[in-house]
Amino acid sequence: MAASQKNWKARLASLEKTAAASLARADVAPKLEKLQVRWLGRKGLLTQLLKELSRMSLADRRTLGPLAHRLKTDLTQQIEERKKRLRRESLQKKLQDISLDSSLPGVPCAVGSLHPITQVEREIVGVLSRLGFSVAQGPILETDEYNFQALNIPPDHPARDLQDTFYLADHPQLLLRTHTSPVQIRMLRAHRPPLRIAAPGRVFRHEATDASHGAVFHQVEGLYVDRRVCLADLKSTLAYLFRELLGPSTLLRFRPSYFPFTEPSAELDVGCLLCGGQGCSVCKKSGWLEMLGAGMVHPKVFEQAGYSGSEWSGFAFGMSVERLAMLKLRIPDIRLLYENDMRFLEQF
Amino acid sequence: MRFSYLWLKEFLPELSQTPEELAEPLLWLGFELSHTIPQRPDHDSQVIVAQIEAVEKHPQADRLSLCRVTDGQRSYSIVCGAENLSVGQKVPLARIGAKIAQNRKIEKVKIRGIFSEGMLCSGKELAHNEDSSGIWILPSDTPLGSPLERLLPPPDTALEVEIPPNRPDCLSHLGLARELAVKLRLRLQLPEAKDPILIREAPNPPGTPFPVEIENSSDCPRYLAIALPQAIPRAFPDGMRRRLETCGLRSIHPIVDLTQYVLLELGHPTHAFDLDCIQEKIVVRRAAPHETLKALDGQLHRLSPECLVIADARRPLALAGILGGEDSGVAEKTRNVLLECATFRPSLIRRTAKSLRLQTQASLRFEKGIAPENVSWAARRLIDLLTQEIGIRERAITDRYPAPPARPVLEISLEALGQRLGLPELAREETERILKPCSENLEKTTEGWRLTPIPQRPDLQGPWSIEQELARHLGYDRIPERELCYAPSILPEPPAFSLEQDLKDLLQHLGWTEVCNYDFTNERELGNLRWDLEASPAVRLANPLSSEVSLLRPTHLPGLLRNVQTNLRQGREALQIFEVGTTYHLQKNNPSETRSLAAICRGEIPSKSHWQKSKAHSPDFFDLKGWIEKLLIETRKKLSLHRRSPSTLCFLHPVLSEDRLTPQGPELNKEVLVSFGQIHPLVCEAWGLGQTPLWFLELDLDRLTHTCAGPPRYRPLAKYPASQRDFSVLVSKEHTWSLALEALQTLSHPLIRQMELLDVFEGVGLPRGRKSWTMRFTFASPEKTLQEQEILEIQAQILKVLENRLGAVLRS
Repeated sequence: MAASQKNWKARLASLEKTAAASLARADVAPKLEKLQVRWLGRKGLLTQLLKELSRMSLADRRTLGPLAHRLKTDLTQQIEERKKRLRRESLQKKLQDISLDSSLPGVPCAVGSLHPITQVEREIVGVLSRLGFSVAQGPILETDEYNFQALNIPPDHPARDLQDTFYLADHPQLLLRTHTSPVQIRMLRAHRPPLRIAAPGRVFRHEATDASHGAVFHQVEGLYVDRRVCLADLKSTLAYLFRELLGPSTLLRFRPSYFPFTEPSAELDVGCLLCGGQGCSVCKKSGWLEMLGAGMVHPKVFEQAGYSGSEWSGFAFGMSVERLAMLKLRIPDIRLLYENDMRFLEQF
Repeated sequence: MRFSYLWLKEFLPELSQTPEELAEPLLWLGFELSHTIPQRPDHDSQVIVAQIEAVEKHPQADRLSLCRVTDGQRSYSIVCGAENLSVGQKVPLARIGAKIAQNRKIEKVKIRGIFSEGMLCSGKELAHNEDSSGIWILPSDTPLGSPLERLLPPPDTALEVEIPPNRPDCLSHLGLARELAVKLRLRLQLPEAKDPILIREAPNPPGTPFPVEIENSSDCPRYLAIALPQAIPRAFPDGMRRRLETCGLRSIHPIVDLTQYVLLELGHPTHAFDLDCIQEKIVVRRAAPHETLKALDGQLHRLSPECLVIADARRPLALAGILGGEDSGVAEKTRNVLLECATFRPSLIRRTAKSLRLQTQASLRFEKGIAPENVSWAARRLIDLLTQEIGIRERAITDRYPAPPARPVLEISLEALGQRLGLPELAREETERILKPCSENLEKTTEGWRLTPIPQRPDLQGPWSIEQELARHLGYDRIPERELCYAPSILPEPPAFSLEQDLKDLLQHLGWTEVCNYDFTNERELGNLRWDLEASPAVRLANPLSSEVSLLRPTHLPGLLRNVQTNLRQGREALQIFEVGTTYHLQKNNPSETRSLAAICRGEIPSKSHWQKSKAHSPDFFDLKGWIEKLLIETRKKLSLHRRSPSTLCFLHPVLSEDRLTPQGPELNKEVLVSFGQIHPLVCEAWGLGQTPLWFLELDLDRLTHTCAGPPRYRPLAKYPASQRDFSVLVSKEHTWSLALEALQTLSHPLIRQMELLDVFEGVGLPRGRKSWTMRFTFASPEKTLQEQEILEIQAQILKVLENRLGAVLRS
């Protein structure tokens, strides 16, 4: 028995000794499979040794058993690791074999764009809605009542010269609205103050088109009605609006003006964005650009809308979207906005 | 309006700003100085600087001297009558041929036997100042030989100032000076009243008054006539003439010039008639129908009862407040004059001036409103100037002022003013300083003041006007900026607005580009769309800018086709563009507007070619259909729409087009929600757009907004596995897929979870006249895993219903 035990131990040692080298030589999966069969298969060397163990004395089994089992665990683990490594290596090789000129162009997706007017209108409305101004809309085909009379511009008022108007044939009571201000009246008649609205929309002026004027353009109207609204509220709101739109260091100038539907009335100028106030052709050498007309809602407008001008107060303003778009995007001619040349539209 | 700087300065003796420096204060007052125009002096470049070399007595005359002067190049021998000359002085020399003030031309003349080679000039002779006491001695450092006009500042400067329509008072020098005086804290010097006669509201003036009748005092609140018998005027003074010229007016006749002068000084238009042309009396009345008047513009105007005229007993003499008549005006031969100083109803003047297309200095002011009280002031000034400046003393005055209106009384609260402007610390003294010049009877009250605005300021109608007045004079830059503190938004966003935003974003993300077109079109463009204007008339403009833009678009298509043309010219073959906007319709002859979205696409997608050829794709009918479905799903408009194929739109393909109708209402009145399809090839041809198909869709956003699906709700997820079965059926080629859908709808089996159409096949291997549909059904039950047997049963039911309704046969 001692001899066979000795022999068993020698065989185990020999197997342990050669295993590492054999594994290192197995460089492809089939060779590894073979090793696995040779060592751990049904008739494998280690399986054999384990079988023989069962025929040994209890004492021998106690001392030799753990040796054989440790080797079995070791070998199984090493074969698995070797297998994983080979698989990794073969995949790596397969991947390396793929050839690619990654500098070739990618498949173009159709890239769309929103019109600059939409983009700038959204910016304006976005700032105003952060201040809690709700969007309101009104019709383009308006009546003289809403477009003029309710805004304190009775028939034969000289201020009608400021807004040349398109009228409909066969329907003399209807016109294309010349400003978004009629929305003020519609909202005041439909909702009780306090009220804060932003009304974006298209307006029409009966005048020939040139580089800075169009017969069609877009406005955003703002209206705030509450108790004790004051001129300083208007100035502060407009300052916020334009600093948000054009940057915190924008120069602003708030000066008197005249509109029939507001009093006091004001205009807001911003320091010329192109020359920084030095004076250029865009600002006509003044260093300032007119951006917006505004004022405190005229008591007669409240009266027309059915409110008492002493109870309620408010401010209103209206600005051209095109003008802001042209300045922000450096578009030199308003007509470019309506030509719809893709080379232009794709830039924004 | 054009102002004379010197004229303003006459009212503002302390004015130290240059004309250009007035831009700033004017801007802060709400007036814009658009530009300044320096006036040329009255003398030309032949008046030069010369130095006196010798002064001797004239051999033939005691009072004259004979001077030798030099311009640095040559000497001149000059005969001169002045006594203030000595050797070494520099003086202005008008050489032979020079032009000096009052249009005098210097000629070579012999004076007491000696030729004078020019003339030494006084300040007055060069219209530089009023000094005629001697020759104008120039400073000793004045450069010799230079033309004098180059060394002197311009004699006056014209200022072109934009005056807003509510300030007719500032269409005058005194009005603008009044503003500047308050703004710049300067003393305002009013023209001195030199004539002792005061014109009162109920006058009893001397002389024989000329009869005046006013037909309706609401048309003409006040009419004051000044009759001037034997009015032989002196020449109109040079200085005043120059001011008129600075303001762009021409001198005509001393009396006419005087009315112009008062107009520009006080802003009150007056008119001079030849009294001998007036029969009996002045009547202010409406024109009779078909009356005519030959006005000073040389035109014969046809009048109507809308027009107010100044007439005599027989005929109209002038268009009230606008323009005088040609044959009743003052001319050289005029001996007796009648001056009119009146006010008229502003709306009447404006309407008449508009309808006759006459805009005059007078109408511009009267249409904005001039208070009747102003008449006294203007008439008084007129009389003063008549006496002082052109030597007409004799006069008779008639003043018709039947119903003097009540003057407004404004109650001003200092606290309210401060609150409204956002200036709580507003000082009483400062406010009063600003209120005083625009008020009569400024009276202190406990709250603030009670005042009546001066008649020149009809714009001051309430406390709100006083707010503006105060803000302007304090300066809008004094209005403080505050912290914003707004409550949250009060009204919800209109659903139509959010829908438009969503649709625009969706299309952009799908690769479409938004365009923006004018709302105008014309008959030719619509004709090229095969549009029948008789059957569906378009909304027409009464006053289009041209016939090219005379109609409002009933569809977005004309604009989009123009855009396709524009881009085709640039060689852009492939396009995907859309527009959201308004279209206009006449419904039972009532104009209405609709918000709609239209899109047009042409060529391959993506539009750029790629080295992997298979990536490009030409969209067709079913792409269009897919896009529309996506738009409806993404905007949560889950709708069961009725189809109408082909579309009834005239410009779409007779086969490749479809309408989708909203489900409400009887069949005939179902409303079109969306139309789409290929543009009719004849339309492409008419628009010169070639053979490539154009695909178009137009979606009615108003209708889409009003159809709504509720918010999404959770449906339990299937617990049990689903089974899929594919099978093909053979049907007649005539049958449409919609029939299959309808058939399956009748079955509406609860275990059918989904059905997809995998393939449509027509051709080789199929029986004649048949086609094959391959469908994939997904079956699932919420309660259990379905057994094969159950699936076979449903499948049999499906085949049965397809067989019954379409004669479908399972394809083996």
